Amino acid sequence: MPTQTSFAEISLAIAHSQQNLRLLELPPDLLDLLSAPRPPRLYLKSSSPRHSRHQSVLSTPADKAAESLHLCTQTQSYQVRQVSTSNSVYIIESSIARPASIRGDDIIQFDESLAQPSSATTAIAKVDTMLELLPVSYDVKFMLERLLPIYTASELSSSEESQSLFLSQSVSVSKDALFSEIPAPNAEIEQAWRDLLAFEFQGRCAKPSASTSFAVWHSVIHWVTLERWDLAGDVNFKGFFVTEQAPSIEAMVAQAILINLEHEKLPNSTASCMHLDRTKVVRWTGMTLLQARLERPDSNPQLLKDDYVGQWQDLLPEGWREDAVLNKLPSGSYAIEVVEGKETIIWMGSDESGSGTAQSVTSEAAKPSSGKRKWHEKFKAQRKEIKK
Amino acid sequence: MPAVPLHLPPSCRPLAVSNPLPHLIQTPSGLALLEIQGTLHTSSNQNATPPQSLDHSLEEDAVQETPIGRLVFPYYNPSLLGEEDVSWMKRVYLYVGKHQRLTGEAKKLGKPVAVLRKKATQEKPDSVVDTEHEGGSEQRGEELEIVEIIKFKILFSGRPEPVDE
Repeated sequence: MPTQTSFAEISLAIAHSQQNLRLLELPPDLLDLLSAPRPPRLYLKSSSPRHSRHQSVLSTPADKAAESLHLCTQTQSYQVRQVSTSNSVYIIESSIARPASIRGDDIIQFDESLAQPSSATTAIAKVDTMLELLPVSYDVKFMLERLLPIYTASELSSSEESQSLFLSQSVSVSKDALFSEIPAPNAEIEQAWRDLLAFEFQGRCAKPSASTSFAVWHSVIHWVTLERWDLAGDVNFKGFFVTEQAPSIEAMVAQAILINLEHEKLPNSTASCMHLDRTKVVRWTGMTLLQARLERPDSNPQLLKDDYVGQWQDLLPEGWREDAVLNKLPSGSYAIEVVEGKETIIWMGSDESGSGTAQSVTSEAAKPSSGKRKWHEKFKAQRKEIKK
Repeated sequence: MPAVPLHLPPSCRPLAVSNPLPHLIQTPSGLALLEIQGTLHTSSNQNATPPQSLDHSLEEDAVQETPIGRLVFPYYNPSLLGEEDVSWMKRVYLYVGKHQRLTGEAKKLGKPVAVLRKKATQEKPDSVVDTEHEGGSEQRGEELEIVEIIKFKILFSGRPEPVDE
């Protein structure tokens, strides 16, 4: 039985001016991240207005807004949920540390000037709700795609005219601002950004239409042939772009295409030299050719299979021409129809283009943000205009 | 809404040596969690008595508080049992005023909690946190920081019982 003097006894007081503190429950994996020697930077992101405008059937906008706050690490996104506590939770502080800043380095200074330890604690904040984290995963590509306007280079006007048209019609939203609209890890959005060949031009973001990508790739192939380079081998990446003072949109699209088609595994790829992934190049050119055709209203809807393969071969480096066979395309992305005894090919849409719905892996409440913000409405209107 | 950066506490901080709480539930910042069934009602601020056990030279004039009572850890005896001993956790008393006592315990949280607060944006960015990242925090409006990560709480789940003075 401990003696009376060994009882640890601490006076408790409550501060009149309570601080505004929140408590956030940390899942084990996030705790590990934060305890690591070099913890990553975390962001809170929100797509709340979209939720509240379009999915407010069951709950109030405030609830929805709270639901759709997300905490993002580099690789994981968590939905932040506010849960009421049944008991009162007070955050107490040992009073001796309080006058100094809560930072540890300040506490040291403080102890030097104060020899007398005080056994007192003060309740500095009362917390009525806990913030819980729920790991979620979204179809980031789908979410990004619907935020990006489509850039279409006009075949009739020069690239400068297309650019000035783009600048005048699009809304100024930087890549950073766009990324902060998507409640997902930035690394994941960056991957989706690459897959969509998106670019940022003078503070405006867009993704090229299939026909623009097709035209750009066509000119890349043309240029490479003139320069007697081989895209199947080492590609001097700098050679493409080093001459451009301020890169045009076309140059940026070309760059985006090449980066997207780059071989991921080869270790000797450097900033100046890259290798293209044969499988990726073949599949992307085949799909882009079909998609681009679809975008052109004047084109004959019936594309003979043999014509298609011929055009496809022309989009490939010399050594890879034999790869232009239909089974290199994703299954389900095309269909073969027999019209008047001839085989024609029809584009059915690709799984990768995000035509499906966004998926929520772990959370039933984590609906994809299908609504739009105001400036996105503008994008949409402008997208229609460009298509005309 | 722009993305709000969430800053982390410096990774290695010394414990506040003056922290009076049992060693196990101490945190570098001196913060801890206290959960009670009910609310601490303080009398109106005008009637507040001055703090009794605080050194006034440390306090800014605006800081005022009302004494509630005292926390007692009856089984806590680090000199006899060592600081690693956890047997004290099963009994904690909170004496409220002179005649009420709450009986509770110290509990390990199922999930540790981070204490968040708004970060003052005017102050110069914390060098420990910011140097390894892009230094673009100045122009942003609201920033949050994790002040502390707490792994234990002192829980009083029962009702108060009357006690003699």
